[in-house]
Amino acid sequence: MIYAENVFLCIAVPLAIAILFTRNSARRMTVSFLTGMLVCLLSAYIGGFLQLVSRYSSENMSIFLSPIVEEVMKFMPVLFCLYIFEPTYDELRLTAVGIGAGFATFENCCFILTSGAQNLGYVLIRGSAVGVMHVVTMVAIVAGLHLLKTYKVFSFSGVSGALALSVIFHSLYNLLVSKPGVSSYIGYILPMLFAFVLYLLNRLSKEFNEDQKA
Amino acid sequence: MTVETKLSVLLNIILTVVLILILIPSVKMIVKDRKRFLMLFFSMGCMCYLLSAFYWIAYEIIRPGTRMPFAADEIADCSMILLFSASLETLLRDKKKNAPGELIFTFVYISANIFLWIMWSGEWVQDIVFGLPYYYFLWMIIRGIRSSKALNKVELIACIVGPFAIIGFQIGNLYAAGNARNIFDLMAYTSIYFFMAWFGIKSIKTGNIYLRYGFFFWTLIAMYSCPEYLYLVATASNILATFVVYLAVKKETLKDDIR
Repeated sequence: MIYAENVFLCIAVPLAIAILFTRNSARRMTVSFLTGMLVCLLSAYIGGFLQLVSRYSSENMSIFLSPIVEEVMKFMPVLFCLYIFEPTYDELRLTAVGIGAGFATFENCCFILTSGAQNLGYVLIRGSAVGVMHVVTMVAIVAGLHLLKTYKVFSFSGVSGALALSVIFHSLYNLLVSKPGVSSYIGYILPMLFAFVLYLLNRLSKEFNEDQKA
Repeated sequence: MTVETKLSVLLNIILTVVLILILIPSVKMIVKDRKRFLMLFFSMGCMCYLLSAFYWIAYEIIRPGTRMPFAADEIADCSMILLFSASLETLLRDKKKNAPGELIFTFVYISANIFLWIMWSGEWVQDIVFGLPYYYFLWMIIRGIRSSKALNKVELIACIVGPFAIIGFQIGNLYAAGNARNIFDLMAYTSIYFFMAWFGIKSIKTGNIYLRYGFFFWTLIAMYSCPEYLYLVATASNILATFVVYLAVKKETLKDDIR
């Protein structure tokens, strides 16, 4: 057993102090990172509660319910930021990436404390698969929201669609890695592949926007 | 893995291929013009459907024969329905002319279906929550069919009586025993497939987008209502319906450009 709240405090205090000495995007990133960590902690509480209520095994929990809880929890601060602060696309993306990275970092910290960090292969997979996945789903959500805003069709259906995409991607990853073998290898590659695709799409859309402006 | 599961996986692989083939030109069309809301919603819905199909394939291969208690693919399916409904709403021109009859029909028919899903699966929370988007979807289809006058009076009456007759057969099947049960089963499945085929043929012939979405809706109802091989036939029809809906959406989008 680990004391997740203590781990959280240990990592959060220096970051909270850092907020006082940073400005603009650096401050935004730090706040988002902290929020991501907090959201991870809250998701663990909710997940634990749901596991007790539903009596699912740990495996079933991670395949069926955890992705939904985690993605919805990560989505909340993004939606809050979008409605309250009305940020630009770049600001919103920075916020989302910060939340995703904070979430992934805190989750990885807890996992490493539980199972140890002796095995370099395992640690690398954890970092490059689960870690990247949390960031990628957030980037995808923000891209979806931006698309809806650009086309001026920001509606419940559109927002739920963007959220559903991230939930199903996360679930697919958890399902693929739940059994060892070929499926798990596909699962481990998936987030990196998706990150690459999103990066390419981002570049393409930038070029397209510049062409339109010209 | 049973033969049915293998066939189901195969059909879902075909579905993913079809969806990818649909998504590539759709995304190109969206990028060209920022007023293509219909195509945007449709593409996002297809994206949800694609990931849902991937999830289904992965699940059937990794955990064959185990029941999915509560899964993300249902959330994706729900979003797909919402997005398809939103795409239909962008097309509707009669935004303030809502007939109460349409609302009542939608409410009663979908509620009856949800009741049946609960009776079959026992998962009442899930069936109620994931059944909600179907109210919106059916309502949009009916409004569209009425406003575009896609069906004549006799056909409209058949579309009101038929679905309720099917619900009646299915409820009869729940409470009947022995031979009567088989008769109810036969009548329900025959009627479902008759309506699905009729919607399919009519929608392909007329090219009406609302009828095509109606065909898609019927394939979903058939998928949820039918077991084993009949389910596979409904899945195959659903692939066809997805493609014909895409053709209609594309036609409407290009028509908008001319306007």
